[in-house]
Amino acid sequence: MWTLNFRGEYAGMLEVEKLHKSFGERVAVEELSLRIENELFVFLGPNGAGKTTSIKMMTGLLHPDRGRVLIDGIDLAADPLGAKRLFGLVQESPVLYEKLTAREFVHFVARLYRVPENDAARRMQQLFDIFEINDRADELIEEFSHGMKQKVALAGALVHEPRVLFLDEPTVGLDPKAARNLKDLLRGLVDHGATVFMSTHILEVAERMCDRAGIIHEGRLIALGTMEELRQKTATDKASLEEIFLQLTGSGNGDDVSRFLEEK
Amino acid sequence: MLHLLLQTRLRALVNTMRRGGKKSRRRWLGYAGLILLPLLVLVNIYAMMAVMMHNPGLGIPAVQLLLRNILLGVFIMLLFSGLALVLHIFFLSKDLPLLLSSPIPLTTILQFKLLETTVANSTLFFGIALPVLISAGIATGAPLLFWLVLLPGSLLFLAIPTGLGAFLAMGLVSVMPARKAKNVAAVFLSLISIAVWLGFQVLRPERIPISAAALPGQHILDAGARLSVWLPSDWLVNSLMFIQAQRYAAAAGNALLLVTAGLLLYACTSALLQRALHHDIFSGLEMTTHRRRRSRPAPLPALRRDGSLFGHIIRRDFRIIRRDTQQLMQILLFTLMMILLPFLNRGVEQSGRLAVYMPFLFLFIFSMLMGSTLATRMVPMERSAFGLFKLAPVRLRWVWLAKMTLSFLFVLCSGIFAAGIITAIHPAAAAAFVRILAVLAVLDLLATLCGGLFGAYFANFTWDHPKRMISAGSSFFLSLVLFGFLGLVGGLIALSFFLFNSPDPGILTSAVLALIAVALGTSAAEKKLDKIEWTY
Repeated sequence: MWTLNFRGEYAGMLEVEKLHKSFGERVAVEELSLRIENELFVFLGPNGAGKTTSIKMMTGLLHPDRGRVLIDGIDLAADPLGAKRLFGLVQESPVLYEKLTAREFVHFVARLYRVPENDAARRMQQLFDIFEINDRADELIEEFSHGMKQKVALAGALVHEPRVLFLDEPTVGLDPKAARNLKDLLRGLVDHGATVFMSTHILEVAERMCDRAGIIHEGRLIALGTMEELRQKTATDKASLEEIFLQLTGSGNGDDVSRFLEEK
Repeated sequence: MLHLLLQTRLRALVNTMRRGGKKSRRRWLGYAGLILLPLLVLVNIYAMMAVMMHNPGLGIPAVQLLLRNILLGVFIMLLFSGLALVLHIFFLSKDLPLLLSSPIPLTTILQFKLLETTVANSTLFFGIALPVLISAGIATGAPLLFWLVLLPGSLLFLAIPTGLGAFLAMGLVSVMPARKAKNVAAVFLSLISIAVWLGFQVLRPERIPISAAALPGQHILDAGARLSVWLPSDWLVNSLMFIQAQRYAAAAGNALLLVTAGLLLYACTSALLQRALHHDIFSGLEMTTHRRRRSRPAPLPALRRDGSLFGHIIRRDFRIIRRDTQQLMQILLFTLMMILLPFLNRGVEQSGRLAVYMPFLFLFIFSMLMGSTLATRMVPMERSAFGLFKLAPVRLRWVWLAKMTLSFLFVLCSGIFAAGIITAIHPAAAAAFVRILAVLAVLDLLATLCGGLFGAYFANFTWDHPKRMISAGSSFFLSLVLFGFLGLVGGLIALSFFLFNSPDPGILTSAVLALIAVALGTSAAEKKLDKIEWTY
């Protein structure tokens, strides 16, 4: 079991106000508003619903047409450096320097965030223990599998103890043990005051882990709340997140499948 | 923060050199080549300049003229390589999301990326232009000031094409995706490289006429002076050569132009790129970098019930190649080489019965290279999707043959086109032209066969660059086999000349042998493709 000495004296907060983004005539994200504080929030939606675009706007990779993002009260547009110091990001395809070793990469990220050398070394060691990359920490990243690269990216995103952590499909490519460690780690981070914003397609994982979930469909946030609140919204008592998701996004009536089978 | 980014880039570079096994050793050989190239340029150009300086009618004006031409060629190449590098480093590099989501000021990211681009774009300058300038300094016995101005002047000169490249890049990405724009820039760079190489073929010491009257000398320099005001390459050459001539005011004027242009461009480029950063241009989303044409969705094509698998694969592969800019451009480049290279032989008179075929020698060589290159890629081009054929109830013989047919048709059509143009320059009788086309078809068939077999046997389905679709060692081996086949066909034709006083029996025998080889090769390819253990 991992032990990570995160500070714990803070409560990371993410506020999103009327975030809007269009590409030409296509509206990717429409007036998205959220307030997430010290919780594990899962962001769900079908492919192309606007999840990744939302995360990119929340992390400064994309500029919204309008609306704003606050990280712990700091406006991302007004003080980008101040806000960026407070969050970490792990993308679906890990962004790494292939010609660096895992240790060099995580050390580089620590220096980007101005983490003191001693703290950086200690946290790096803890993170390498958690993700079991100690044995290969001095190998070039280009030699790693996708799962190993994902672990290095996670270690890089966590080395500066972010108050808000954004994860875009973080479990893709991870082996069961690493996925389990990640889940424990995320839960632990939240217990220590951090906020985790995670997009995923694995609804079973989401259901078990999340404090609240938001469902985005065609750029609009169509549902937001705890599992109980979502069940109430769909007027079902014991529906799983998968059933709620399919009901709300209108993709689960099975008509197309039935028609296809009948034609056969 | 800038130093941290530079330090990390340097560390990655050192890691690349120190680690990586065979790949790294090959890279070291590349570095050795990078040292040899400037030395060769230095020796060759110095020899030429020494000849000029010993000829009283030529002297310094001719050296200056030569410098201007070479520097202009390098400048144009730097402009297009700068464009390709800006597109790669600013728009396509994978570290952008990491840098942009980290607490690094945008100006720092911008400076880092600009420096990275300038350094990456300097190889050509240090490989060719600098040795040429050093040769000029040595040949003309330049004073100390020449050497002192040389390096800072060179650095300022380097900043100009990079800055202009950034301007061009911004324009290009507003009309097409960055990746496509990069391919277009790479093609322009290749074309210009060929043009410059052809230029260098003319600039050989042995081609300089002994008679001074044959060279234009001073009056050409005077005529070019009006154009010089606009060319950064001339500013650099003039500032150095005026120092040599002890005309310090003129040297300072040209140096001032260089400094002003360099700084102005840096400021404008920074402002432009910074504006672009605020508009998501570098966000890694290519879709934001170009306006999409709105078009009505095309109706789904009706399924062709009568189409055979063979024809279907040919049509599908044609569509893939047509949409792949890199493959198409490579075909275009090979065709251009086939057409352009015979120009170099124009001055060299050939005699004998084979003289009429000599201008087509480059056509044969490049046609074979093109045929084999294209054919090797037909199987690995599928990447992991090739597994579909393994799963489908089809005979892999027909899949492979369809791919080879398309590759053969591509290369034969390009070859016939090139042969037509060459014939217009080097007229050949109708019978000779038919024979040339027959030899071309035989060679293309053999090249396609070799390429196809190598593509099946040494396919690398996880390639990251089209050049790495088959393993590196096998590429070299393939070249040897190709030249072996070229020698075999050439030998058969020569033997036929010797025995029957006609090339026709030799061509016919080669054609029969080629067809037998295709039959055997197809079976071998099918066996290999059947055996591939699919792990994707």
